Amino acid sequence: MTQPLLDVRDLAVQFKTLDGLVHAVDGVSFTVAKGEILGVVGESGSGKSVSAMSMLGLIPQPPGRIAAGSVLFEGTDLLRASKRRMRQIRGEQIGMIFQDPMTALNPVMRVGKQIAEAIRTHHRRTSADAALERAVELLRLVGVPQPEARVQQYPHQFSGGMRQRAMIAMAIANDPSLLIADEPTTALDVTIQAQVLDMLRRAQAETGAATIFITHDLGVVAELAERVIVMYAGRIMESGAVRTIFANPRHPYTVGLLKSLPSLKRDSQILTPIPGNPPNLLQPIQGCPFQPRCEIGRDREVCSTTRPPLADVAPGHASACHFSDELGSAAPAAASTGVTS
Amino acid sequence: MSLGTDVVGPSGPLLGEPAAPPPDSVSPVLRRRSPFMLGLRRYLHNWLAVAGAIVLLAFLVTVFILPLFMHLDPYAVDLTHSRQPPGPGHLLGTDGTGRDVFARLVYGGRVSMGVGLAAAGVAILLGSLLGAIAGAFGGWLDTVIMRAADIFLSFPSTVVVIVLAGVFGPSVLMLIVALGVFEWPKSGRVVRSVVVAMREREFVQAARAVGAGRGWLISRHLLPAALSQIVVIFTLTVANCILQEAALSFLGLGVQPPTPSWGNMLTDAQSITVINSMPWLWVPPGVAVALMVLCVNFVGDGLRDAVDPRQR
Repeated sequence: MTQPLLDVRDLAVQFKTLDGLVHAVDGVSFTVAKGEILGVVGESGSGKSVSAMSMLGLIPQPPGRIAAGSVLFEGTDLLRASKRRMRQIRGEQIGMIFQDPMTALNPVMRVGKQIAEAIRTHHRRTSADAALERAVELLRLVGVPQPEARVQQYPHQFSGGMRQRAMIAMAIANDPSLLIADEPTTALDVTIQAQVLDMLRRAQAETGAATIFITHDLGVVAELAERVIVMYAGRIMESGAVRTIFANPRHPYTVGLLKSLPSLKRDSQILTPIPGNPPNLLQPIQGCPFQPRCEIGRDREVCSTTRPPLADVAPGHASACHFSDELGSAAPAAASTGVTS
Repeated sequence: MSLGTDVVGPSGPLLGEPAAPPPDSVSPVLRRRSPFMLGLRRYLHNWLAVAGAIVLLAFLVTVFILPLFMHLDPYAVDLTHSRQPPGPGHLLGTDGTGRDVFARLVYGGRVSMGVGLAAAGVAILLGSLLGAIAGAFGGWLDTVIMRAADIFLSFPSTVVVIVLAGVFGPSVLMLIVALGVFEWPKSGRVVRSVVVAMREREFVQAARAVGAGRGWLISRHLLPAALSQIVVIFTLTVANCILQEAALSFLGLGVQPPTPSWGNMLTDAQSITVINSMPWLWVPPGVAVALMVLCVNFVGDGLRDAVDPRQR
């Protein structure tokens, strides 16, 4: 593999609260190659969004604090870059799509002007008219009908899906090489979700931007991403190619997630949920954070005392479980298929 | 805001919801109105605000434009015709040194309103800037600025102006600066609170994510959000500054004679004989100050209701 576009190493983010220090992200490492779509899945509070926000330096500090790690983006460490450099990178090289298009657009500013803003913050010499023309073009690109009229409207005159399209237009305005989409479809209803996903895929193909796609929807990941990271309690539990992870999960948490999905193939009427609750991140976790809920590790000493490292179980497939072998035995052959390196 | 009509042709089937029509509109044709027109309409519905604006406009015209067409000399002393009651020669009579009261009222209005507007302008500029900086940056800068505001608020400004007048000598410029410096904390606090509330909104985060710096955020997203409050506080501050100017000039610490101002014209009303037998010397400037302040306040209230985007 050549030099990755983004190389996150040992990222740790903490928040100071009245109850103590919350370890929101705890030693996360991953890479994103040029043009690749990486899915990040995990339940609420697993540190997906915090990881993404801290990459762009958008974590409010205090109370947040980036305790450790580095985020190399095209040779620049984003965690140590100057404010000036970060402003250049934000929006120009890394575009961000927010979860809720209802609140991520300024309600008293015309949509066209907001898209133009994304252009004009980076190209000061662009005239307001030229930026607005580009905004029209971008809106057309993301499939907003009558873009000439739409740029003059306010966000409240847009529907939810339309607003998310406008957000996508803003994010791709400067042809970034990396897009971060933070649950872009969560606030939308299902039919619009499909349209927006389709749009995102096309925008991604058009710009060739690598994409980090954060979601808690495994179905969306399966549809969109090439590689996937499963996060839990601020750590990466498993990472690998989407097909491998779905066909041959090697971490009990991933297994649990897949079991709790409704499936057309399985005959059972009942979904199997994962028992218990995610751990309290106020205390540092000695062993595996999933251990109390884990069928394999619940009674094992090593799981509660020693933190399992994220180790390769096959090329391009890593699992943070002491006993990943016990899970892999079911279909050992499948592990090697679909792995891209 | 532009005056241009926002009429979007017949919406295509894909374009859903038309903008909700104003509830009081019974027009069968759904037309989109620009925010400016909506605001204007709300303003015109408030008859007190309209009346205030008309009287205010009449004041401004009289004070700033009338002297261009009519010969008025507020300094011409005529000791043979002192303290004359209102009559044909002198519309509002003459004062103790035979100067025309109407001329002095008009020119005094220039000074009083000029000082009021300028001082309020200084106050709002300072307040918006410092408030926005405090709100947007937070941390120690916020603490320093807001504690400074508290200090200014806890000083009796009149006393400080008296001291300043003693040190630098009373002058119009000193009055403007002193009033402006003491009036800024009110606008500063309001702007800061709006900015702090806005700062954590997701669209501000989104603007940061597309690369907006602090200055950009303040000028494009944070200050405009406070604009309606700023306008209202500006008008209220104008009213307050006019009052303060009148009070200080009345005490002989503001505008110095022979330059007329509404405040120092009222100085004449310090003697019982004038109050009893020569009302033309103090009623006109007194009424002018009261009416002016009242009108400015009405206009401010009207603007607040008209500008507030949350009522849209």
